[in-house]
Amino acid sequence: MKRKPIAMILFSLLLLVFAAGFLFSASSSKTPEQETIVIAMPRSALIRNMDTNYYKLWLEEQTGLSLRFLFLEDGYTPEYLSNAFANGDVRVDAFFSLNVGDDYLTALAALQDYGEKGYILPLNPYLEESTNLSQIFRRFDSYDLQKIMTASDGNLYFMPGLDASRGQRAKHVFWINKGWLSALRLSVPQTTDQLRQVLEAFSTLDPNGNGIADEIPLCGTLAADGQELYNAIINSFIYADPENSYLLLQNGHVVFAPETDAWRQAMQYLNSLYRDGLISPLLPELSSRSFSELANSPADILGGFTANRITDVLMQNSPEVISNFIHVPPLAGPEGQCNATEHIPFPNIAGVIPSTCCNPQAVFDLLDRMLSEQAFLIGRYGEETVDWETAKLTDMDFYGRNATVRIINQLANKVQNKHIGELGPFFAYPQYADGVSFAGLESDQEYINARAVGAYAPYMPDEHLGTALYRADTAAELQVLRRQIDAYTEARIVDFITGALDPFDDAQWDSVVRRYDALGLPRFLAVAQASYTEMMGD
Amino acid sequence: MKRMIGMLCAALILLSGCGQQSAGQESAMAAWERTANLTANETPEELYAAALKEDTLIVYSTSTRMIEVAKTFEKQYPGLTVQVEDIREGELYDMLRQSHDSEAYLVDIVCSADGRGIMTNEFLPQNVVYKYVPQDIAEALLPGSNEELLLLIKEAIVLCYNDEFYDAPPVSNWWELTEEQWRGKVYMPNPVRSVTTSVFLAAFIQNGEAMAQAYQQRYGTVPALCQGENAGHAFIRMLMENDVVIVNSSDEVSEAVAAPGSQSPNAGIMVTSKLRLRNIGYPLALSMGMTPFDGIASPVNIMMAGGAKNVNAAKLFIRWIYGEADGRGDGYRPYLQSGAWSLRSDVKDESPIPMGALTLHEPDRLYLYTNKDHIFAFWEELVQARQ
Repeated sequence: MKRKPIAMILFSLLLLVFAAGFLFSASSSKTPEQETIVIAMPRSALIRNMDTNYYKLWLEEQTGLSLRFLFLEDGYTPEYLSNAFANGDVRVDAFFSLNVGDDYLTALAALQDYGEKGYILPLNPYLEESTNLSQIFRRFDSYDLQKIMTASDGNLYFMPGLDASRGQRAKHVFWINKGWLSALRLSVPQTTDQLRQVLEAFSTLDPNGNGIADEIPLCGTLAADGQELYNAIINSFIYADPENSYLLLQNGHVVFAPETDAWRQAMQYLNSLYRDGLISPLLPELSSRSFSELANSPADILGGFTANRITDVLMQNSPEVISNFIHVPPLAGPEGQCNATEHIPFPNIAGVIPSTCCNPQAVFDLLDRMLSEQAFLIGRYGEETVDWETAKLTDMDFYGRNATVRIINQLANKVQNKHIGELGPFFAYPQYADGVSFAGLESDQEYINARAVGAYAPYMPDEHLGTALYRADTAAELQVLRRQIDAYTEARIVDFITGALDPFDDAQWDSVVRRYDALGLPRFLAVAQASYTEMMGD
Repeated sequence: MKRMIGMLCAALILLSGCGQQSAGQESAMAAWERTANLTANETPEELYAAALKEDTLIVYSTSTRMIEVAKTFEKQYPGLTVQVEDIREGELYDMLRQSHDSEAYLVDIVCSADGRGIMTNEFLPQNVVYKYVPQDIAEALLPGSNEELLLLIKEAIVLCYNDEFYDAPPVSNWWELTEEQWRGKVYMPNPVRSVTTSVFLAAFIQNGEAMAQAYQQRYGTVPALCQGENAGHAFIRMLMENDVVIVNSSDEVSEAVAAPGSQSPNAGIMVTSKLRLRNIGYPLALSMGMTPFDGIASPVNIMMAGGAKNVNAAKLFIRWIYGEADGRGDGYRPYLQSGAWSLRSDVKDESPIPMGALTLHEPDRLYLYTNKDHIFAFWEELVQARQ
């Protein structure tokens, strides 16, 4: 009952935004024969001026359309969007980068709901063989992209924004303070035992040399993906894949890691580090921002952390802090387990056509054009020969292969007017996304991340669940089960680490494991196994 | 006829314009030289007081160690700030040239290895850079380090191996790396992006005769040469034919050769400064006793940019990076780690092997400058052949 007024207010705000947009667009010039397409998208502080944006102008030239942009303010709600979709008086022809759910399946279900209510259009009628999207479906070899994008009613409701390139695949990379290692003449740890020794030295030997016991050997935050610290360490005992509810495969059989002995050993190890002050007591409570401030402190007080990319934690404009850290290759545990989590990127809801659209075919063609190779190159690297050029024969990419793209003018993370920051549909063609030429600077953050990916890739599993848990036909049931299982698992990990639960106590351990039955684990495993088996049979 | 006269006039106007501009530039630089007073004998206290009235000091450097120097400098001299632009050498030349030609003078200090001879053969004669040597430090500098350029430290490009895998250097003659047992086991940075590696290639080409003798010494015969090649070219070609692994940087070479616990049988051509990775567990060792030489010297120079706006801070910084008059200041410390050699007679570095124990070819800046296109064309040819 309380949500309706909020929705009304938001809707009013939306109308205001739209009205402002139309006033603005009325002042823009266009040739009489050009059809105007209105696109609503999130605002980006990094785009200088949409009217004169190079990528936008290129799209107009390619399609013969005139593009007008309206901006969605941050934090819009599903109600806000429902109203926007439902309101026939306000004409929007396409939405870019829609945030309609916290995870992929929730977003897909929300789109299906909008589709069934007639708010948005299914795109299947426009999906011809010659379209870029059809070609991507055929060529994409990581998983069955078309199946993953198709809702359970058989419809395709969105155009993707997808980067599944090599640089996106590593998660939970362990970064350690190289300056501290060097100051104490310690080696980069290779095992969990060595890690403990290093952390003990960090804790007691004043590696930052300020005479104060202010060193924090390890810390992280539970508020940011990849920075929770424990997954990198669990990987030394058993494969840790939180995106798949900590399921793993052993000879084709789905196994749930948190009920195994190896998991318990991981909890015991983490618990002992925490108990001995080697993991900061701040871990459970630090916000993402507070952790970032701690990690970037010029006082040099942090020994190690985990992050998918080093710049997820350390500020890009702080080379002096970044140069202090080096990736730690996956650590071997007491049983020799040494794993790296493989991330399987899913598409973003990058383009949606609402039923208010005046010319769905033209808009689909526009969105499909954005999935072309040329659109990707402009959309990521800017103007050819000005911002980038084809790499020379002798250029190598970050991974040591022949490069395809040589950057002339770096646009990433800068205010610029060459592209729209991939806020609309795009497909990162791997030969270009992974093929940027190394410019020779060892402190280049992309290079630092690429080297970490290179170190982690050999430890990724041969067998992977892939998209087994993301199939539209089983998604609804799995989604309910995994939500409660995931929440329970994450909470118990923290309990075990902090000592709220004792992982050395058999009764407490058994109690935690037994609880999974009540949460529907047997059914979850059965459905997951069936989905995996079916996926492998496809 | 009228058209010709017109064209001549236009040409004369253009020429006179150019002449005036050039004279203007010279006089502007002469004025800067007078104000900068690079031969003055100032105390650190005087420089600090004057530097406090200046802006942020801008340093272009090809080494991340400069960031550490900046940190200690700011700590030593509160109120002064340093911005280090950690950039690759080619980019450094471009930025420096642009800064100078546009008379924007955006940089105060440049630190590089001059691997293409541009600093010596272009920037120095054209007053794009100047040498500033603090008088109370000059006496402590080793012979050869205070000539055209002011040299800060010496490094080298050498062959490294894993001393947990090998008890002794696995080769003693560079030609051995072209033999079958080393196929795919030798790592090297891409010379297109690593200036020091291009210096390495140039040294072999320049020393073709010595390489021919080294071949004779190992095989008792002369190497088979392709048209236009000397033995240096042949060595590089045969290294490529033996599947030398080209990677992006000396860091990657270090990992391929001596990642902790790897027991790697590989060998790597790399800059000695990476030997400091021994401190964090990389069993990297330098291959000594190589024929015809152990490696190629790669001295790092530090120069003041012509037109620098923060002259006093720059002078103070150069003093600091040399460790001040007695060499004990923290500024020199980051450059004294294993694999880099001190160029001060009164300051010891941490390298276990003294510089004098190595036979190093000294880079010939004029040769590098005049042959850079040839070297890259030769390299491109080899890469093409490998495709």
